[in-house]
Amino acid sequence: MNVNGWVQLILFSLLLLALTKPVGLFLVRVLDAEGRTFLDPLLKPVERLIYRVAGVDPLKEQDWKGYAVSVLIFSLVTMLLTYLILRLQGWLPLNPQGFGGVSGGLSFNTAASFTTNTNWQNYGGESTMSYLSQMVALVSHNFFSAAAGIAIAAALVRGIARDKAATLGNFWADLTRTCLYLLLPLCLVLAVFLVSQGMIQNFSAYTTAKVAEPFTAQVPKKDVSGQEVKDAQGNTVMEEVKVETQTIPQGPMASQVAIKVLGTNGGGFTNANASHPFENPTPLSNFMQMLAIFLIPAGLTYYLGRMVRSQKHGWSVWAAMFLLFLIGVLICWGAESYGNPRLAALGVNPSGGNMEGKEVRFGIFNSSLFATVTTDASCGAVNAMHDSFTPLGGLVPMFNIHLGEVIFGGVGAGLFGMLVFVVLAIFLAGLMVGRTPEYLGKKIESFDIQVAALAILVPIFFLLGFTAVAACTAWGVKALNNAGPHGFSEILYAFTSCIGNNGSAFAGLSGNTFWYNLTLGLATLVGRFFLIVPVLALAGSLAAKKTVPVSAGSFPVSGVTFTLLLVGTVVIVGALTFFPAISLGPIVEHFLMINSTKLF
Amino acid sequence: MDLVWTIITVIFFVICLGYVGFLAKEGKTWKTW
Repeated sequence: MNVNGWVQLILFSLLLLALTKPVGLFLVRVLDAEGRTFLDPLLKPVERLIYRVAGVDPLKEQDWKGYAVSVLIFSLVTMLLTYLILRLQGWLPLNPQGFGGVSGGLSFNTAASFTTNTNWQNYGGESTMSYLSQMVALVSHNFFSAAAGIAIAAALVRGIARDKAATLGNFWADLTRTCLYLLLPLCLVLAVFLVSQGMIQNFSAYTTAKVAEPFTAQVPKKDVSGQEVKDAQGNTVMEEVKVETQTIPQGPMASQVAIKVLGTNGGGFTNANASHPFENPTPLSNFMQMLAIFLIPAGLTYYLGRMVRSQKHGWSVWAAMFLLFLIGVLICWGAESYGNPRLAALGVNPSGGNMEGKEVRFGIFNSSLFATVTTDASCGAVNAMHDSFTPLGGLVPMFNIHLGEVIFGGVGAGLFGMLVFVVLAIFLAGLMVGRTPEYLGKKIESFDIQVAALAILVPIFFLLGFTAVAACTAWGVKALNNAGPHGFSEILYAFTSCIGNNGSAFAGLSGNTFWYNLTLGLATLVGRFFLIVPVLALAGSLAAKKTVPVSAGSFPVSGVTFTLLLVGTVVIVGALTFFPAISLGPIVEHFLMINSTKLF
Repeated sequence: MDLVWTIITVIFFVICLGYVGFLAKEGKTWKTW
């Protein structure tokens, strides 16, 4: 934990704090169907044209059921379209490498993953996807899923802010305005900045280069049909191959990376994601990508405060998120700096910390900060291999997702997830002090708690259920590269990442199999839509209630006490739910590492 | 297999629509305001 790291952490925190208000104020205008922005002269005609073509009246508001049905129908149609494009990739243009169609299972998994803002990838982008697939099938979802998340957060905030209202806004207007006025302009600016840092943006075919030092490598032997040759025992037969050339990927990376981070999507253009020098060329591009991930989620807390006319409440939610972020990054950074004592016992200088699986350009601090930021938010980008983190260092990204990714969180999803915890915290506080639970003048009643509980518990049920099934079946274990508690962590992380709509991988798990494509794909869908439906029901319920004036008997939802109560609720729910599972994975691995010579 | 993956997708979203209907019904049952 060096001075350079502390300076970067302070700078990152101050910039995030400074940008929260301007982004929040802009969101207030964008998320108002009649709001005016400085982009109106350029984009208003486009917005009107979209409404005319789609037959949408942006001022006609929907109740929570109409809003939810719109979200579901839109997601179903765009998911099926993505599936179709991936399957037909071989016949479609912008495919200079001549990639064939993606298999059915992988297409389902990828379509589900990108529709749900997860971006879990059971493939290497540069070796599987054409430019058209990347730009149309995948990047369109990066915009739509992010905008849908923001729209749902706005609907919930309206539900809290409105008095005896039947409607929550218009999903189609929220979706259109968020894409047009917020995501597209921000992405344009960020993409140009990333290009200035050396990130590539072209449609060229891949480049073949001669390596400076040819070498030989052991690779699986393949027969004439391209299948791996097996010996009598079923093991893969290896052969020596002399490597004299390498293929360098090209493509429109800057535009994809911009929305990848701003939309907290995370799907990499390349398999190495943000550790690839083209996808993350400099320490400054790394820093700006992390800031971009938190930018909109932080701004949404200010939007919350402005809409409910309690800016202190918005800042209290921001403070709770920031406190959880800070705890996470310090634990992860500390664990990675401490390193692996088994290596120190072998004579390796421990002052370097744990550099396994990390880009030397970024080092321990920037790898730890990136891992924490991306898993606080639902951004699956990685600039280091989480699989190679120390057990406690790797526990932090996993536990961040277990907490529901409410630490700033995914764009929109982080805020509506945190507001569910706010309702729960107020309910628990009301029970403890014997008052009727009340949130900003709205009485919290039985139905509100039921849907809040469903929003929290149903995804968890599927997460632990899928993990248990995978850990007990041959197909689940066969895909692992590691045994013991680390292997279990790989399974747990995969389902955690997909249910949490994060998309980052612990790596070490070969997910492109029928059962993993099916279960991980379903996990992404469950994690997204089994959360959204009860959240919108909660929004509808709150909107319909009469707002009573805040009195001395009202529970305060700002200040230090509320912030700590919210942090406590989030941590306790996460810890109680997942402690048994993480005990079998990273915790036991940590104790084996420090008390024995066993490594996994 | 394409048909199988498509059917799985459609069934999932039909279940979600059913979930909306279920919560809407529950909301009326528990309406106390």
